[in-house]
Amino acid sequence: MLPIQTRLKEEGFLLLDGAMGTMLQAANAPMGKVPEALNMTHPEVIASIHKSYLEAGAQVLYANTFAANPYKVKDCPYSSTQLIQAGVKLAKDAAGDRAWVALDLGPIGEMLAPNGSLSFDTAYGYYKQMVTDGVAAGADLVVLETMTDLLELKAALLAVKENSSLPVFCTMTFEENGRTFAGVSVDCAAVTLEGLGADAVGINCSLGPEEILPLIQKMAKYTSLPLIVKANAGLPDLNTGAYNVTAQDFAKGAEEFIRCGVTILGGCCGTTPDYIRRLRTLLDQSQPVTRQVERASRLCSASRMVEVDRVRMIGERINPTGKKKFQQALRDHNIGYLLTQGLEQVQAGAEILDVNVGLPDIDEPATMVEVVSQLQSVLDLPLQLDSSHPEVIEAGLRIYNGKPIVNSVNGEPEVLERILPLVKKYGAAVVGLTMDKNGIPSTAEERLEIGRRIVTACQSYGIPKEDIYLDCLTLTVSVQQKEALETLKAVRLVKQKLGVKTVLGVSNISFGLPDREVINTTFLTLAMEAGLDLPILNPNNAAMVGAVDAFHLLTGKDVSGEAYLARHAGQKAAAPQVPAAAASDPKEGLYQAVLAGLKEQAGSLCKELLATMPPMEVVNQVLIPALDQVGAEFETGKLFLPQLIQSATAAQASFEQIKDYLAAHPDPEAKVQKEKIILATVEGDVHDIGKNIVKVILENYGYPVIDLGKDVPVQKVVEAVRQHGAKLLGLSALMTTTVANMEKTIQAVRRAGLPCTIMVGGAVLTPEYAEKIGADYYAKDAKQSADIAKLVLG
Amino acid sequence: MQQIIRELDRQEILRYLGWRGGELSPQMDQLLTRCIQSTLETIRPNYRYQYFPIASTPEGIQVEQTGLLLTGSSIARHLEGCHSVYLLAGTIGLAHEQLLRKTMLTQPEAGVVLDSCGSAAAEAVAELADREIQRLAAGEGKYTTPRFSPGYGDLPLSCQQPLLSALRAMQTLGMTVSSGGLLSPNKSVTAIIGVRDTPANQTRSPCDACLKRGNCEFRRRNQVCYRSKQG
Repeated sequence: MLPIQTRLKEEGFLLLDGAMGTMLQAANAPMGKVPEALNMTHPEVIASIHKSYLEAGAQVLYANTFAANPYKVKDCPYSSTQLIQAGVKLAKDAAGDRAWVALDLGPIGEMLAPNGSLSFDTAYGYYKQMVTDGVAAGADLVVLETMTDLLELKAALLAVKENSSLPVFCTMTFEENGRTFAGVSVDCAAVTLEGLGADAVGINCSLGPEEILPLIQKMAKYTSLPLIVKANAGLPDLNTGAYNVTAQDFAKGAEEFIRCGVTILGGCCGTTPDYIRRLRTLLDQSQPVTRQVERASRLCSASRMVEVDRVRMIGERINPTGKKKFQQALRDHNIGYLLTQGLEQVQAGAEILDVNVGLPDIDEPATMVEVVSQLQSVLDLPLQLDSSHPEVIEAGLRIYNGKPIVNSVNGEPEVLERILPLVKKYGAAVVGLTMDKNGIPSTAEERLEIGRRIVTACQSYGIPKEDIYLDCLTLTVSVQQKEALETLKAVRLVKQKLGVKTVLGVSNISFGLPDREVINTTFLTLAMEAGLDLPILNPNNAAMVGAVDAFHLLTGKDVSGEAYLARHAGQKAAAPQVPAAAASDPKEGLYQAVLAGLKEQAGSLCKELLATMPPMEVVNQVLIPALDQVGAEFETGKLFLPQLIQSATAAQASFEQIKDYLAAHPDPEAKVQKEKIILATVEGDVHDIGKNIVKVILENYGYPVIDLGKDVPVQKVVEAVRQHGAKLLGLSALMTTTVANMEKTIQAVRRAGLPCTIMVGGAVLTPEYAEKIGADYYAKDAKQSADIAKLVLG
Repeated sequence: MQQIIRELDRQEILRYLGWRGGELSPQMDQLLTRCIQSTLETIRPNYRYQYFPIASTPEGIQVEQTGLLLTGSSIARHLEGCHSVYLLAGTIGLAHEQLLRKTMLTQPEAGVVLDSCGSAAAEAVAELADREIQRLAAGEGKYTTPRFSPGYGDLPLSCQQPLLSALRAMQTLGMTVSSGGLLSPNKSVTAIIGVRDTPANQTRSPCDACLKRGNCEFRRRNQVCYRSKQG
């Protein structure tokens, strides 16, 4: 029998088998914890199902290994390795030399972070083990199916590519709205999986042929890989579990799939050998349809596609260069600050975010992984991974859920050799700076030549033209006035001569000059006219965003001005909803603003007050008493949780003003900064809302909080307490099962001999239980945690 | 927008938030309205249930044709006189969770309200499915017990995985369970509903099986954390 690789290179159809679970139910097989255990206990049942699909004409048999992963089989008497090897062997014995056998792998069954607590590396490890076992047992290919999380699928796909030479098929399961349960869209899946080197992609399970048709039609536009459909036999009846599409109608549905270019077909839940037989007949009478797929420049997250068919703004704010506060946030592990910077840029109109976490004294690869993971858990823009270190770029590429852009390479051969293989392997796009070891050439023609070298190098690695973005480099006009026009000329040249997209950091142009906004906006407009596709800018600057919007309106990209109107019409209407408190006395005004939870007012009144009152007095005479009153009213039930938080947020705005004031007027005597507090949701627990509320409240009482996040390993807590010399640690746990880890964490901190007071909280805790597990304090709510902090730290 | 859950119970959401009655300020009222609206726009309610016979074994109650064994005395008491059960799994989906994460960063006061809206929505999904089951059972002249979930009383959380598997909830609802017994999506419900031929002679309060019974903020305020539909 030919290797399936050879078969895949030929034109023609490939027929997969049908459902395993449906057949097992029909055979009345005993359903234990995992159906894969039948590979050991009832091999004859599995073998006979394989045989019946083979006889129906299937060319690929899926081994009964779908859920045989270490997580799912942990309560099963057999190991994952045993079940995988037995499963593949059963299929191979049945197939003989008449069919290929696929190692069939589904989702692990525990969600990856941030939705669950499974780490990317653990998932990768599971898949790696299963792939190794499957290869050893002689599988011909690997199928990754029924996936709903693109990041988990990426872990699996990398595990296949890095640990075997087998072809790999990837199919995901979508709902009728074209998204998976985890929100992955059809187009993003196709683009990302093709980039990562899948051999065929498609859709399986969840829906019947009719519902899948529009989805696969869409997918066909986004990939030139062979397309797979393994549909269900319609939709199941809720009560009986019976499916509603007959074998005949199923085959009729498949005709439509063939018409839109699908070449690999089979059946999922509810299908039987009869359905496969009908497909066999259909395929024998049909000709594959050749698809014409338009190549385009695309970037995406798992849920949002950004086609570079017009100017797309890259937000530049996630970058520590020249930003003290940002640098401090990185050192303090204050990821929340970075995330807020990201969300602000999204709000302001950014469509891609640049991510740079380069600081000399931090672990940059680990920080990149953490920041990318967290960013993609709260926003859906494609990211631009920005670092001068290949290992940082690779760390980011590995964990990124989608198709990112790498910033950057230049014309230096060593740089190209180090970075481009990574860009290819992870299916990213890349920024090429038109410079080399001799620096930035002064003429546009020389920059074009370096650009040409970069494009040639990319293509030699198999990176297509549409994934290359050349940066012709902005120089400071106050220093090199002539070069502004050279840069614009170079943009024009590389677009014309090389046919690639362009990117440009805009703001540098005005460095050292007054009224920079005017220069930046004008330069941006000129650059867009010259052909700039991706300006890197600060989207919080309304004039810059406005210039892009106006450009799209004037050049007809923004048809009927819809986008322009959406952002610019009625902008001035947003007035403060609540009339200003009668603030003849700013002190009373600030007090009332905190009480009423008015953030903007509290900030501006505090600023006003600082002109006449020393910062410590503002804190002690106004803010703390106001917070105390809020706390008291919360205790009595006069205010409730959202109001407590609003007041705390208002106080926070005031504390920000005080911090800024102190930075501008340093006074070594005035120590407003309090002792650090460490917070963590314990290992195994991902419910962190309570901890997040506590964080908001503590910060607003002026305590710097080091938030370790959720599902925090015991040792990480101990290390953090030691590293920061923290005097107070707050732990939260929501589940009875994770309270055990809380106890372990407390014990570990004690064993390490750290002089740290520990407070605990969480839904299932009681004061008695807190005492029993060795905590110093039990906090029943966020307010009480602030009381404890005051007691312990002052 | 989805049409399965069209409204949420404001009082229930306020109760989750620790509201003790009295007048709500206009800002809080607006905030609540806004969060309910965005919850209804974001959730993707979905549920599945299936009928299974049960059998008493020395180890516990076996749900037949599945890998689910119900152990402990609480569930045994709950299913007294029952010959079969409905297994139920329902969720509001992951999108709401994603919105919640974002909101907690940008507007934490709205975040806590959204969180409670999510809980109320999950409860509404469970109610909806429960009522369907009651109707089905009533149509056959049977009676159902209140919902009983893994983690209540001494029914272990390790039941979650086989319960989800029995309903193929990963494939059909996107529901999974972590090694710590946590459901994903977070706002999800699993339950066991007993089916019997005669009405139960007494209704038991879900609080009876609750670990927090002795130290419960809700009970102190003469409230309950669930919306009781039975009794």
